[in-house]
Amino acid sequence: MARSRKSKNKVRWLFWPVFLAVCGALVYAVYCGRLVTQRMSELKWDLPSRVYYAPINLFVGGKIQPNVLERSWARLGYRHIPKSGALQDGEWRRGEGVWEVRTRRHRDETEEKSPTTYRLTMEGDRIEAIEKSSGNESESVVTATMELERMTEIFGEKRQVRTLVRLRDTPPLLREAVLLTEDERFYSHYGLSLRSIARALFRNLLSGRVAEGGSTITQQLMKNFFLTQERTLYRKIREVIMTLVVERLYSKDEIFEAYLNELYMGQRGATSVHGMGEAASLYFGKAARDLTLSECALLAGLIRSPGRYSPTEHPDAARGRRDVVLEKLRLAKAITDFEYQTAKNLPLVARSVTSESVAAQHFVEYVKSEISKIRSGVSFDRDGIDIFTTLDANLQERASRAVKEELSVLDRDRMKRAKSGPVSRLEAALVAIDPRTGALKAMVGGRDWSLSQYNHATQARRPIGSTVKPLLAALALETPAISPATLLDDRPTTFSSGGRDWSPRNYENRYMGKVTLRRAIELSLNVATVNLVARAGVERVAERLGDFGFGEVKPLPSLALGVLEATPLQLSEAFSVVFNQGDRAKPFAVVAAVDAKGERIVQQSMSATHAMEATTAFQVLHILRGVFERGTARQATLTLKGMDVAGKTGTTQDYRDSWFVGAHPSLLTVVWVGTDDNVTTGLSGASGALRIWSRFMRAAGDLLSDDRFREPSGIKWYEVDLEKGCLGGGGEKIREAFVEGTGPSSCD
Amino acid sequence: MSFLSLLSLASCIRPTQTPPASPESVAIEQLEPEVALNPKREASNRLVTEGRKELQSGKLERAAQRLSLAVEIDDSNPFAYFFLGLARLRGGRWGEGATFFSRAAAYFSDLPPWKAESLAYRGECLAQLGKKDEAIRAFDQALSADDSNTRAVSGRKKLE
Repeated sequence: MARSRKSKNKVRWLFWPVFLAVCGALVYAVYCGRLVTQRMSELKWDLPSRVYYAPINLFVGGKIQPNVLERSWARLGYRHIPKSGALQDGEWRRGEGVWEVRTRRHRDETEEKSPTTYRLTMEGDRIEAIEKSSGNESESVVTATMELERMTEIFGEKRQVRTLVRLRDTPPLLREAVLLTEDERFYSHYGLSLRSIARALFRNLLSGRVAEGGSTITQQLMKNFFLTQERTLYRKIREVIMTLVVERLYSKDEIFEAYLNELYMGQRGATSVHGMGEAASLYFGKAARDLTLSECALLAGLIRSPGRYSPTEHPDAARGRRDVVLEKLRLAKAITDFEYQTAKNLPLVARSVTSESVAAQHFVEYVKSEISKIRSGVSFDRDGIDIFTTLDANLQERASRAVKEELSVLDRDRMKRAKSGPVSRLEAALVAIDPRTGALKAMVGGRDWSLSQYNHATQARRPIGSTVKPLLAALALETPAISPATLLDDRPTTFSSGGRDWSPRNYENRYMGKVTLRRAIELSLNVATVNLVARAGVERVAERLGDFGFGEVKPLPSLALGVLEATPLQLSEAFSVVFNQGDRAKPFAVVAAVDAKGERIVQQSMSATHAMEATTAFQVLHILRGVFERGTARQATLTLKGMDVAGKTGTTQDYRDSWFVGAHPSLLTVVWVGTDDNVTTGLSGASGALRIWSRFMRAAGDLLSDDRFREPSGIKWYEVDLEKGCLGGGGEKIREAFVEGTGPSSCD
Repeated sequence: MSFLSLLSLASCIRPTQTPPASPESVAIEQLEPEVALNPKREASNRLVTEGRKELQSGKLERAAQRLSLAVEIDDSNPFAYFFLGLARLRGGRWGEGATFFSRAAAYFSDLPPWKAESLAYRGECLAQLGKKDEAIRAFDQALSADDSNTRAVSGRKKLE
């Protein structure tokens, strides 16, 4: 009796712990179920956003330097094939006057593009003809667009990169190879494979270490999704529970698809590469669906140890592992003996893995802020946005280099000049837009992103100095009585403004007495410009400056000396009026931003507002040509080899800011040089910013067309005396642009 | 019909024909056959054609993107500006529409009916902006380029 009571007590004591353990397991299973459901139903990984450069558009009659294409293809990982024969995706070759390239499958802002072969017939650097073929058909075309280059990816803290692939978009042989190497019985077990566990246990006991894991694909997925890599019993129990739950809730295909996207497949610099989609792109530069048998085998073999079998780091080991997988495929009769032998004999061709170096980090941040202004709540490091920008990869590269190289020269010169004490570090910014459309072609926000993330191109509002003078001249020229030949007073003068006297001075206290409007701008004369504004009406000029994008401007005579503040980007917009026939082109950087579901969340294109007559804008433009021919930028003329350029220097009080605005018909570039603590740099517009601009334009010359600025109708040319602005006279003569119906007076 | 066959067809069509009621419905090669002589214009027009297709399907911003590229290749292509104007007009961006139609009219100097059409559209944009006097001036300029332009006639009548 007593014994029976004792055993009953024992049972009672055992019941509660067991009951609680079962309840705990059930609660945990429910918890796991919810966790798994959430993750699997959304299939939500942190997808980095991708930022792309603008495409290279080729057209018959257009100009393209061979090195531009070669460099672009090299950055894309295309292979140079010297021999004749059919090109494979991502290959190119160059013959006598002929270029051939076969693009890979890629997408642009509108659609996915199939691989296409282009044959370019060249006459020097000019494209004479383009032949396009995809499949067996071939035709003559007038335009061709190359594959987009990726500028960078925007990661979260994990720095994972992944291209999602659907199971149906993966080659059957890739699926087969993965199953054979990782979990042969995946489609027949319930998540756990006792046979695999027993086999692993046996082998591990024999070798005395953990040589083989018995995990199924589902277990591996759960481990990667939710658990750590530690080898503890507790973690194993959690893994088993989660595996059983996910097998109960999801189909095998869904689990396999998630697995193929989650796999760790290697490193690109500090970034970890996940999934078969990204691995195909990383190692072979192609989409997963285009992988060959040999490539499928290599990727499947890589799963076990992406480091040890890396085709770029350890090609021999990678090849050995690939052959093991090929053998498995052959034994499983997934491939024939012939296919096996052919694939086995293929050399290992993998792209060299380079970490992307971004010379446009300020631009990337600018793009993010612009998109966020239009669409709030975007997580760039998680939402997988494809961002198609206007930035020109080649111009950007050359702009970055020009800023970096010229700043180091300027720094060295300043160090030499500085007699004692530390010298503030120079900063610089460069913005280049196409003045006809507003598309941003290059942007350098500072000398070094790692030192300062402040974007001087878009955030730093600084006084613009004499760069305002051409804009004032434009507004003055709207007045019928004023032309480029109008004579202005240029002698020391005291002006009254708001009850106070003010005496502007010229640079180095040099005065010309009487001077034409043209010469006042070419030589950047302060007093003459103040007189010009006074003649045009300070109130009207201040009000009209709003049409150049300056907002509200106080009607003070001192605005003639550039007290207005603007960022380089704003200044580029203002000057587009001059270089775009009187229309103000709004700068834009993003053509389209497309989310992971394919929805366009941002779209932009050229937009312009009419600011002044094309004839007036052209008169100013023609004056600014003279800045190079005779004015403050003449030092740059020699190096620009007959390019049609126009521009203006700018220097602010105490040489704090050095500016240059210069344009070619298809590229308007603004350069600023200064310091962050706003101290004197000792640099004028000509000795600082102009030097960067010149270096950039020399480097960019082969990328630009031979076009000249377009002359609008309504312009009449007269040959006038340079200094007096009248017809006849005994001095140097120049051709001056007048609006039809007006003209110069006679010197007599 | 292929691009090449359209080009050959174009050789027998006079470029000065009046713009159709729906301008984007006619192949551009029919409007300006001499483009074959100018490869830059031909390439630019190819993009104009793509832009017009987008315009027809109501994708205004995508149309504008293709047309922007057309301007980058040939910045004096009047058709690029004309259809940019149309994209902006249909998107209710009247100010930009007026700007682009104005540029188109400047470059349509050899095609008076198209110049007139551009100016008439410009008038419509200005009217939408409430700039009555400027709109009337644009309609008058349109009629002096082509006195049979119905858009200008009716636009002007509405403002009287």
